[in-house]
Amino acid sequence: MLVLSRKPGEALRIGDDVEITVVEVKGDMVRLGIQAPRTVQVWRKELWEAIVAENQKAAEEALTAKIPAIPASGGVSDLLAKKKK
Amino acid sequence: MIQLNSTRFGELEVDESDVITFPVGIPGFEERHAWILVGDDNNAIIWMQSAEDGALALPVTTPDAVKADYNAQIPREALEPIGEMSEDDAAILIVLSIPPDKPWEMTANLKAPIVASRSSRLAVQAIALNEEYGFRCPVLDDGMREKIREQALAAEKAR
Repeated sequence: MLVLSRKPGEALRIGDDVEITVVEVKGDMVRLGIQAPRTVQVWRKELWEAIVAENQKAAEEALTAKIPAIPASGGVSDLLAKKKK
Repeated sequence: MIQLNSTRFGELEVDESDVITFPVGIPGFEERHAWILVGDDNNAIIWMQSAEDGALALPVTTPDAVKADYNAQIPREALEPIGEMSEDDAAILIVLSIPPDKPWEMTANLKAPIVASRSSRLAVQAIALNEEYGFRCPVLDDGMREKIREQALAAEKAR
């Protein structure tokens, strides 16, 4: 892993369109400012890992789960695909 | 026209206009950008089927099926991949985990809702800032859980 030292106000550039600025250092907490194209999502790593785990679990279970019926409100019926077959 | 041999629904044929596009994929499936929603009006549980991988589908539902007063606080930046959107235009979907051996114990990921624009059909999975929402919230109340448990066990016996 590349390790660099930076002071508050200094920044890093990753590739030609991501910039990370050290905004503030306070005790054991570092505040970072991140500028990235809108197609680059920025996550706190532990949250990202938790969502990956949940999504993969949901997809895996879904292969064999029998899906019960629960009452519907039809809130997204306009987004449903119209099946041809 | 998109033709797909799906594990769950067999041969599917849908219009391109039915596709919901996730410009940045979803966590765990970043390379899957095109999805379709398959379901009927009688069941709150619907399927988000990958239009690119027939074996990949996630059960999802609308927030009201889980929590009537669901009100996710989502930072504006998290929605940047899909651009500006009015509140009326936004549709929210919640990913469900449904254990095959105990479907009545299904949980909902209220922490990471999927936000879709009805008009542009662009969508993104985002993090809700709400501290009170977890990754595995129970979906069914006691009555409903018991009913589905009985149905599942009866179906098991009948086989």
